Amino acid sequence: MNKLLEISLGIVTSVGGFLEVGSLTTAAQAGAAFGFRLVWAIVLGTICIIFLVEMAGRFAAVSRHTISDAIRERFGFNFFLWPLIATLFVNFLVLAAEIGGAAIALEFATGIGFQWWALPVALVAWLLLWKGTFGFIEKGVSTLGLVTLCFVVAAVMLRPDWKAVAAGAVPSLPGHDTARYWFIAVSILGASISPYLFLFYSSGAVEDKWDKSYLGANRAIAGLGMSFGGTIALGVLIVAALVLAPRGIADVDDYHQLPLLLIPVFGFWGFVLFCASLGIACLGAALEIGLQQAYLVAQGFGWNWGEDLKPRDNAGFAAVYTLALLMSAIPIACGLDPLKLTVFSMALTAASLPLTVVPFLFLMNDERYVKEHRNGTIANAAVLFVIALGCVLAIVTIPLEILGG
Amino acid sequence: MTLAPRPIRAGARRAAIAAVRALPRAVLLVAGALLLAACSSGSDGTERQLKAAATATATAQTALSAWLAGDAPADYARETARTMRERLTKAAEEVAASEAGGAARRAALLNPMRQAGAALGRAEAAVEAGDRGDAERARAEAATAASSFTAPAARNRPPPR
Repeated sequence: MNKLLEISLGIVTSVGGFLEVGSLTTAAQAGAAFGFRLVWAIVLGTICIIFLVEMAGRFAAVSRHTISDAIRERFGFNFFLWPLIATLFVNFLVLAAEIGGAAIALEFATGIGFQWWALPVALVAWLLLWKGTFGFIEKGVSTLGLVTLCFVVAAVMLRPDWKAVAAGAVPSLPGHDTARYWFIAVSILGASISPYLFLFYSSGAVEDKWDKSYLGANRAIAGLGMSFGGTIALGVLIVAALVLAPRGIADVDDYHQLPLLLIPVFGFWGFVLFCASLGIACLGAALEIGLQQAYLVAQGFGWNWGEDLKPRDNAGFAAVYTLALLMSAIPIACGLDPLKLTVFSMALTAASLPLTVVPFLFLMNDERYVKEHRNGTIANAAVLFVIALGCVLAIVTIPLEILGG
Repeated sequence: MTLAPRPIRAGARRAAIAAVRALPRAVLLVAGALLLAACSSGSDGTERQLKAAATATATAQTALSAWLAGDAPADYARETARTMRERLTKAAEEVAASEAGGAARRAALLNPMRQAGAALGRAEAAVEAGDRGDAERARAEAATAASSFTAPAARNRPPPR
């Protein structure tokens, strides 16, 4: 009964914590510009993150290691520096984007410019991390994130042609804006397979003291939680295709366009639901990424770590999340456009994936860590394929997108 | 939770290096294919600006309609109208500066783009003053002016399948 409750809470947490500014923006861009044609990118990204999250939980439960400390142990500190630096940098950009997302929600709600909200949002996130426990961060904020299910409700209310939606799950070439099509596809993959998602999951499993008895629960949480989460991103894409595109809004490149996703469906409540969804989802993601930065550095350098410890007992850990939040708030406070930062950081995430995922796959096939619970061929092949696709496309399309304006 | 370092196995290192070496070749291959595709389906600067102008006007109209229906706050509608007016102005400037498409075509597009921009400016002021009548008239004027450049932009955009 206790396990069942944990599984349910885990699924709720995964669903509530899935949508953030990256998946929201990229799905909205895809739907507005290409209708249902990019459904496949969300499906592919969701399948890949299911595999990665399941592996991260299995690895933590069997080896009692987090991914970061195992990469350092297995490959040595010099090798570990590369994924560490790449992940810290990408996480810095994504954290700034999440703070920007929460600040935009507050701008919509109050009429005061987003740049004025960047430091207060960072301060609230810092206070929650300083005073809160891991359970509060993981379950409390993510449960509030269930408000993002309003996108699924809106998608169903709009009565899409489900056959056309299903047809979008099969990749096809666009008839226009080829470079932009692939850039959005890459951004969707980057948003779905953010390294912080599975690195955070693995640290969380160690914080929650998972052992082999959690393997079944882990599979259920990864499979069901991430699938339902992916459904929310799909809901955003469907809503964008049916609400924005018919009104002539073919490019979502300004954050003022985003509330228009829900207003035509729910009226004034659509505006309120959008602000709540964006604010809560981005604050939740900012908390997770802030913590993840601290986990990465503390685990990499062998410091004490743990969100349930008092800050005075792990001063280095607390200092890292404090600095991470402050530094990430600065670009937004200086007026950097959160939407542009979001799209760029998602594509960059896709480009950086091999640095984290490839060493992780080596660990998942190493009997010294996972014993008889090694990866199967399908899991290895599926993850490698999606990571390689995302990385190659990102390296190609980022310059094309910049050149093409 | 500290761990003692364990040396990497030679086999694992060789496999990782081989994977990294294969990457540039794959990137070049996909880059070539995508560049070809992007060039063959590429639109000139004027078309891109037309599309940007059409999207900006449509966004402002939708936000203004939401405010008029009581579905969005005034601050949001005013800021959206202001931002989209600025985008429209920028797009018009780039069309004016461009040499693609011929001078006559550019002139025919610039006039309605500027009219739509001016109408959005009036809508912004009307929302600020809380004058729904003026806001509705300005929104309609922007829609009329935009019909001249939204049609070409829409022609270049195939419908969602």
